[in-house]
Amino acid sequence: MSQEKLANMLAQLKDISEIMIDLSYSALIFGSEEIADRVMEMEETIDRLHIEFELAVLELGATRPAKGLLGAIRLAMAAEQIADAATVMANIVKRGLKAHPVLQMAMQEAEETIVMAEIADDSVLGGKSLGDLGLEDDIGMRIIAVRREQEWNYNPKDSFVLAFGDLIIAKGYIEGREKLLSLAHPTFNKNQ
Amino acid sequence: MHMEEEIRYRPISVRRLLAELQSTSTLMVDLAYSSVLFSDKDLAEEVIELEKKVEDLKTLLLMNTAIVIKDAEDAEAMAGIMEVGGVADTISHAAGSISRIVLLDLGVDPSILEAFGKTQERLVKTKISPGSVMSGKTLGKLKLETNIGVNVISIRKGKQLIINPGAKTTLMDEDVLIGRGSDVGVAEFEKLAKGELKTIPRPKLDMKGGRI
Repeated sequence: MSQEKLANMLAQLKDISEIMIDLSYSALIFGSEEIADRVMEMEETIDRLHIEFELAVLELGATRPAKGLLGAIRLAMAAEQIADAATVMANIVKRGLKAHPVLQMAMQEAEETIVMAEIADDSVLGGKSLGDLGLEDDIGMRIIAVRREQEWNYNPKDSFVLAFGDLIIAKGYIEGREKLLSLAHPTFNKNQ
Repeated sequence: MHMEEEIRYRPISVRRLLAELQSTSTLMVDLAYSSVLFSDKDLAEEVIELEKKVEDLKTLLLMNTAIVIKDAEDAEAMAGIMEVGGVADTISHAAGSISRIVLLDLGVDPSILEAFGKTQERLVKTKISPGSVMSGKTLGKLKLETNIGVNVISIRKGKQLIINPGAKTTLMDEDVLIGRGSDVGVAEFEKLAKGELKTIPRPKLDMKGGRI
């Protein structure tokens, strides 16, 4: 296996584990089983990636100094621990423990929020690249994941073009929340 | 190193504790990955500092939750919140493990890291020196994101930690900042903090008007 491919797997472990934390906290705030389910799916992806990555590192064994390979294995292990922690949080939601009002208040105090929205047919977001939209500069919301059909894209790049029907998950300040929702579905009732 | 202090109960709102646990543990993961990517011991040490802070916060959360529980109904409502404290602590320790890869001089094999690092933005830790142009100014006035493409993600003022500081936050001498941006951006950011660069660079624009 090429080192490029290894680096790619490591980047995925990092990105997915970070997104899992964000999503699991928001599953808790919104009491959303749907978001909790996404976290569970990602946990399966992480488990598979983690094993593939460790095997690939072990295969490099004879060709590279052991120290840096052990570092790589420890890094992947920590990513998995983070993913596991996120899954525990998602489980709290799945077990039916409704989010306590104090949790929601806490998250508002944290100033950052997570928004999930589907891009409606009349949305200005459809067909545009993230770079052209510049949502982070304009409304302070950063898109951290996009689901198209059944496929998830994590931390999409500037060149990523949004399509109608995409489900987007964005992170940012509370003030940007309403703005993003109205951009995603202009004619839809705002308090979905 | 400071002596381990016993944590005593003091009344703090559960709401505030949860918000701090969430934002601190998320920040730590961010810092930890970056410390490994760029073999940055400063960032790694910051994570270890925060690891102690999260442990204290978790203990305080448990105490402040336990003290209000009077009956089974309260206990049911609070169980989830107590668990969240534990989860934040687990995340914090995982971030600590990542930082220790750097602090124990293991590192990650450069052949893997090199390709990995290309896809990532850089985080940097720096301190405001007396005489820095940033000292005494608010983030809103400095407009670092527009001018040099650097986002200040946290500020430590003595024992106080501000995560995702707002435009009204004023930077002072000795503040410890963590910024995120491109290699060029964070290099300029460090020079501004140390007073080596006296004016704030203007945005570099390409032909299409986008930031380079």
